[in-house]
Amino acid sequence: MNKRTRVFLFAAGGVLIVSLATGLIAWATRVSAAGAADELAYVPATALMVAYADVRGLMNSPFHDRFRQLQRTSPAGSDDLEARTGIRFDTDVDDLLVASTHVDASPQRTDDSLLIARGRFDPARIEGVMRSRGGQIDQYRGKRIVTLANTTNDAALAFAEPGLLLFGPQASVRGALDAKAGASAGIGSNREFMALVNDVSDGTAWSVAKLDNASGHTPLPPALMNQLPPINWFAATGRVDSGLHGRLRAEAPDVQSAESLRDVIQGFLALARLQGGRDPAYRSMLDSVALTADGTSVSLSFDVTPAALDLLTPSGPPGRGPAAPRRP
Amino acid sequence: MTAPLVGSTRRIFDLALGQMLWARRASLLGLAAGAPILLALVTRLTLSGGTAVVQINGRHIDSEAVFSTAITLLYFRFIVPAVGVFYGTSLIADEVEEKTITYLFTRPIPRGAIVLGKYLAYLLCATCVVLPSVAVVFMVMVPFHEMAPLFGSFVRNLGVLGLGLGAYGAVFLWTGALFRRPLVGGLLFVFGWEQLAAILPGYMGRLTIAHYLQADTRSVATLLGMTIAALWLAVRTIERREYLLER
Repeated sequence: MNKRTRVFLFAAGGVLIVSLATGLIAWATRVSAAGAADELAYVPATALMVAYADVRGLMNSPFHDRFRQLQRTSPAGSDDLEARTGIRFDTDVDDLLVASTHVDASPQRTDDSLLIARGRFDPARIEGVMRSRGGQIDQYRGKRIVTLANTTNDAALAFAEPGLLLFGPQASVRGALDAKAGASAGIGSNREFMALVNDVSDGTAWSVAKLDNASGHTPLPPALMNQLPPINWFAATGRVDSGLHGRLRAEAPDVQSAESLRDVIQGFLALARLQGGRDPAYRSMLDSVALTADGTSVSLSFDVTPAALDLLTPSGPPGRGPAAPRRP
Repeated sequence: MTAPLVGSTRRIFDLALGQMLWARRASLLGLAAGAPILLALVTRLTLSGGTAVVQINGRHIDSEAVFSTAITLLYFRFIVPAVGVFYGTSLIADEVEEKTITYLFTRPIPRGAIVLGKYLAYLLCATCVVLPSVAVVFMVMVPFHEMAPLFGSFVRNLGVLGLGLGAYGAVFLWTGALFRRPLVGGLLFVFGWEQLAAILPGYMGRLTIAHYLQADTRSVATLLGMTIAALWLAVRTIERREYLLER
């Protein structure tokens, strides 16, 4: 091998190594920079579903103003949270992460969701509200926990860090503190879960769920799940600005199931195009849909453009009514 | 008396690598590696300058999507099969065509070493040109803050491209050892049959190499199996076949 050949081979190898190192650095820094990295430390390994929302980003987005025109009622969950704890969802919360050991669609399931909220809270006021409803102060792993346990309530609230609040059933809150202290395994030890989280965590809101068709633990109605090929994991992410850019990803157990799932979704899309193709609002959304399958993964991305939102809003484009005030 | 296979393979590898890298045919490799980089540079400058917006079905396509499309359309569908056909078929067929295979056969080395040495030289030469080209396109097309989600698929794609180059090279090395002028047949296979089979319903796609250019266990195992089988058949063919050289 002469010198010229050797130089060429070293140069080619160098280019490869530099690009791999650059990608590796980007990947490593992204993991530590993920918006929900701190909150995820409180999620126990038993969680089957994790959902995150950059509440401030969502509330301040032009999309939110438009969306309010479509759905003028605030989410029922936020009213419930305010009634039980005095936390004002719209103004107090910056980021919200919800973790659950259930992903059932059935209405009779017990709600064991753990809420991890980061924001600007007034601990004295919130504790006062809970104590006025019969809450008891307790200590666990060096943190004050306000518990509200009676025949109708099983709720606990803890300020785990300044500006970081845990809320949920007592067992979930204690489990979160255990996971943070390293006394029990955290979700970070689940590589499969974290790989999906890393894939979707660049969105303003995202969710990752482990599906288990066999035990009936699915976020979709069992009747629908029975019609679909098996799915192991489901992830969704949405980036919100003046419109919504969404991506859904499903992980099938094998390539054949992924191909079947892609075919089923293609069928649904064809049906949707047939049904809604004449409506410009739906047509622009359907035109933006991109369906891809890569190995066992099936992804569907879509855009809801400001123009499509204008068409979907009964009163037309914004500006005809008062816009929601911006948050600081 | 013949020399051991490993030592002979290494000598043929050294000889073939230099010939391959600095021959006129290498300009094809240069083109294969350079054109996507140039395309990536132009696309990146255009997208970042905001002078144009790439759209498919009315949907805005960002640099990530352009990179994924470039990998699929340029590398998997065109460059890897083209490099495999042009180089793979020439490894033995050119020696026969130019009547220089006699010089190799008269050396005291196993005939299998000629096949293995030339194949390994091809593999190193092709991967050292194609994979860095993909790496440069990745770095040009994808901004640093958007690299993380694509990094896994980038690494998998590099692996699959390497395996693809190996499989195409081995299969066409075998056809080069079997037939006198295998290039036309090879081109018909990759740009005719493989493209047709990809759009035919049913299982026809499985009768192509392109079908297995995927990062899953079954496809990787199939590509490796295909490569080993084709190499074994090429070695067997060259050891048993008597090449009659026209005067």
